[in-house]
Amino acid sequence: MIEVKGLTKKFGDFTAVKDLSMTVDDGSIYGLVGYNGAGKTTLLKMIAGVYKPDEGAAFIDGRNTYTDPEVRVNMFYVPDDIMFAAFSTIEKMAKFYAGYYPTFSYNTLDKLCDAFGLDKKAKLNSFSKGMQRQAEMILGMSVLPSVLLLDESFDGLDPQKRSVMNRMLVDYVAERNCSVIISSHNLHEISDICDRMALINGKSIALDCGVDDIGSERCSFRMVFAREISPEELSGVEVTKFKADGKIVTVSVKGNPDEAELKLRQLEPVLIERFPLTIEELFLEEMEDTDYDFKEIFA
Amino acid sequence: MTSKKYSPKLFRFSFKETLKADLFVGVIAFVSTCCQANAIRGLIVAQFDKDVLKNLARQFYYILTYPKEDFGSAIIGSTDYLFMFLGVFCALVTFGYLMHKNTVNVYFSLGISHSKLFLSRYLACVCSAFSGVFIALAICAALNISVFGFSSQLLIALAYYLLKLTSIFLYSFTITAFVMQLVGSSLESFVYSFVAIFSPFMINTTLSALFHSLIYGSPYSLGESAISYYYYDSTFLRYSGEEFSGMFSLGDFGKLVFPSFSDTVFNAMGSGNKRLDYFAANYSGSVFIAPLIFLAVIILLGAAAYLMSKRRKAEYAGFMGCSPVLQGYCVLTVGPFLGVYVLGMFQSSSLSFSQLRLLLIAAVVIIMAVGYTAVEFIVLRSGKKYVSRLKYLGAELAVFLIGCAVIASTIPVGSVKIPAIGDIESASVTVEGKNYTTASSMIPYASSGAYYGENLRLDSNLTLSGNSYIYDGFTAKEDIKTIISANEKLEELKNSKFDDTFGGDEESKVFHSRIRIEYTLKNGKTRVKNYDCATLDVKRELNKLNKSENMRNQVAEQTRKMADKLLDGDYQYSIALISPNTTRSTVPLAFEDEKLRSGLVNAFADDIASGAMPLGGASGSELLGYVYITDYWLVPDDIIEADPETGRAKGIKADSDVDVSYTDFYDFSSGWLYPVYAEMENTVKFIGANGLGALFENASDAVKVIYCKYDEDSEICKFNNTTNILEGWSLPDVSAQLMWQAYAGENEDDRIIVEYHNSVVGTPETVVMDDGEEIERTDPGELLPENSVTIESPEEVAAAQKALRLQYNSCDDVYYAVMICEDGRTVAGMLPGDFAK
Repeated sequence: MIEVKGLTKKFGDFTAVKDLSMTVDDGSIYGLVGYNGAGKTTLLKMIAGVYKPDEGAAFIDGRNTYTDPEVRVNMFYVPDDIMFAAFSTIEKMAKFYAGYYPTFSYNTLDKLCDAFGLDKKAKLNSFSKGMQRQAEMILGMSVLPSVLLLDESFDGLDPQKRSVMNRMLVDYVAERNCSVIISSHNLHEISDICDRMALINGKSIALDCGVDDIGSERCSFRMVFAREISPEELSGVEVTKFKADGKIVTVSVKGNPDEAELKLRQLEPVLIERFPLTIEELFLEEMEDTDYDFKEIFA
Repeated sequence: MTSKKYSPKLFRFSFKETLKADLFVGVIAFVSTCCQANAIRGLIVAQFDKDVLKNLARQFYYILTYPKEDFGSAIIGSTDYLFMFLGVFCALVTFGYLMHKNTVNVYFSLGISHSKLFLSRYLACVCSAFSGVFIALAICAALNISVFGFSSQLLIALAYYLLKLTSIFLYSFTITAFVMQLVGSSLESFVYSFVAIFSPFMINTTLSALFHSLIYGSPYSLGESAISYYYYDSTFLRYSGEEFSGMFSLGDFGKLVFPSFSDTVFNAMGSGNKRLDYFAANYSGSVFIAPLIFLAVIILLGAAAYLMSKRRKAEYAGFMGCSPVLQGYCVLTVGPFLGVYVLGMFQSSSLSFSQLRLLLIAAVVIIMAVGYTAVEFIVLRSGKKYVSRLKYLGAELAVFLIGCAVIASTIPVGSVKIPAIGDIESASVTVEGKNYTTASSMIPYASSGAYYGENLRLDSNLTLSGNSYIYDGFTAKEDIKTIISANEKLEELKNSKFDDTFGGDEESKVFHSRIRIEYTLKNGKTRVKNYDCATLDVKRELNKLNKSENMRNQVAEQTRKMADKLLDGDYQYSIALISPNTTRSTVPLAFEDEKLRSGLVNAFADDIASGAMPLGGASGSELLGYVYITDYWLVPDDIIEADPETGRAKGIKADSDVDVSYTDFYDFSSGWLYPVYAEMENTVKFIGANGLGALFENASDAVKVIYCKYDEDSEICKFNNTTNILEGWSLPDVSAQLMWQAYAGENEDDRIIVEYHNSVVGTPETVVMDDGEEIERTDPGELLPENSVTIESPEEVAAAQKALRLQYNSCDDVYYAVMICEDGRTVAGMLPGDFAK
């Protein structure tokens, strides 16, 4: 189990992550979404023991991942910026990882290489970006880690390989009951393979819930009123987005949808409709501040 | 889940992995050690000799076991720097993963702690380098022992080199490794490492210059380490034992400062303040002192790097400017050091002590400001940030200025007053005059640099010339009074301006020199004074010491040592007897009898000790002739023929500028020319007993003598006062050499000056220039200075011939003279002022 408690990381005056806490259970795939620079990579690097947190700590089975390097033997971090030694091959990299990861399985490596059609003796530098990603993932899975941290690891993969990789990951977690954190911009992917996700909205977690529970945490309402409604009148409900077009009002609401609907009905709408929020809608809501008017910029 | 059992496994794997990657380090270390030990040369020679093993062994053996030979440049010079660069390069490779984001991600997420990862890689690289050196030297040992048998000297030498070369590698490797824990880019690692590697040298030089610039008569002067850095070839003789305290500005610390540490074995042999006998130099335990201290410092540095690795931040990777402390350190180290160099450019200018002091401070402040700005802009590339960080420049300047104020207050050196005569137990004096033109332009106070500085050295036989000794142990009250008197005169020159020009009123001039006076007080303490200036008055005062018993005994002792050495056959000194006007001399090869040579030198030593052979001036008694001793062949390599009557040889001497063909050529410039006076009982007796007296009879008498006072407008002669003190052997008299010049070309730019002077006695016939053009010898009589006097009457010429000396104390009132003999021989020398008048 991965536990993150009050992690804070600053780079000079800039705070990348602030007081962030979360938990990833064994056998769980945890999706991490957020816009560029939201702090996903920083968070993963702190969990991986690469960055030292300014405050807080990350734990795996109760052991601090930064101060207790032994715990990292069963954890594999696939960074977004992959490193292969010059002129190395999968075979050579396997030797490197096998030296540092006692659980490394050459048998698994061979099978995965066959599955993905990768030549173990070919120079990795000659691989395409997607193939290098596959190679790194294969090497990581061959470590048979109990914790896997994937930072945008599926980027650059074609749809077929992405699908195979997803299946591999899901099956691996199911088989070995490991914890996986995967950061990605591909929201469909997150919703497909993750059982839980967190939305990092610059420094902190805006949402942390099961993927299947998103509808129970967030929803939107479209209402028609007999009169014009101001946002202040919705004070009893935690509104994350308010849009009024005369007497037609659309709101996004955080919290229990049933309770929210009950409160909204007290305003006596002529019509009220409830819609579950998709991950994309959730993500875009969090991006509201950057809703630029490009027409004006280019005018 | 994992357990602790994996930790050692991961350490071992990291070690092995790095060892494999750094195999090239061991290979380079092995090859370079072999090459520098002449193994390759040995193999090449072996191709012809068909005796590979023996030649190989011989090469190794010779190089490693003869510290007295100048092999320092062979095995140490380039190898030291090679190992230094290798250390930096290896660290950049071994810890390069810290400089890139993607590699840091991988290595820092491994199940091994940052510090263990550092340690395993560090040790692997060190093992690789050590193995390379060790294997090379082990082969050397095996070869030598198999061919020559066991030798403790050889084993000590091997152990010394193993320790030394490994230490140098470790030094640069550890410093670079340390720096890499603090910065995030390879460029910064490289630059900061080099600054750090040379910073002891820079700090030492800077501090010495500051002490010397800010305290008049400071106990510290700029060390020869700085000079030797540029003049490697002459360091071997210079760094002998006792000279350390004088040569290295901050005492024995200097020999631990890279690159001084690596200069020569002889350097390493110097221990404390004991005089090291050049001829008896052997490896001993003392050679390990410097490298072991060096190693201890490296271990501390390594421990610091290890601790830093624990705190190394992954986020530094790929970024510049992560270490403002290191950045500030570099500016604070390099800035004043460069400032010292700027000051050095003005060293030979006519500035007073106070003006030089202000110039140094101004130069350092400007260079630090410019350097700081440059570094900030390269690293930060932001004007705003630069302005916001100007306070750090202010802080650095404040540190420098406060440091200057502290030094100027003399608090760090204690009293700088001349001690009272009653408090002094003994005193020593060193007078140096060096002509390191380049060094003097770069290093302040590094060199007298000027003719007059040499003049001073020349006239003081007590001097520590470039390759001589400090004369110490002056305990007689009269001697100490003389030293104090000279010291007081030097103190009065504080605000005088230097004037190294020729001609004019020489009495009032202050010229560059280096004088070091050390007082040993009765309370056991020492007080050292260093000066860069002198006057003729000071010079005269110090010359009084030449008459002291202590001085005579010291010179005699050195002379006896040479006599002893002549017996053991290691040194093939040649000895020639020369008649007073040099028209008759022996072929030096005639004196191959070791006992004869040794006996003659011992007789000289006895006469020096008794005072019959005066030091620092010519005797008034009759000059019988000269004895010339050299470790070079007196005759040129290309001997055409030798006259069995006179022993004169004909040959060709290659000059640096042009080839001059001579007849009757002897080069007296490479040895010691001892005059033999009638009152030197021991020498005269020895010569007589061995039937050599006839050799002092002139073969040809003078027919014409031209003499003049030196005049800066003179176009025909100038002084070239060079020392005849070599390898610690003091010349009883002083050689002031007159050079006659022949010109080619119409104007000054075109003319080539061909000089022949009293150290090269002979008759130049032709001068062949670079382009092959032959120039007729110019008759000295055709190029006389206006103030010259020519005498041709037989009586006057005979008197002049009798009074002429090849050497005189140039402090005295002397005229420079050229004597032309019946057989055409030209002899340059000096005439006493009384005679000329």
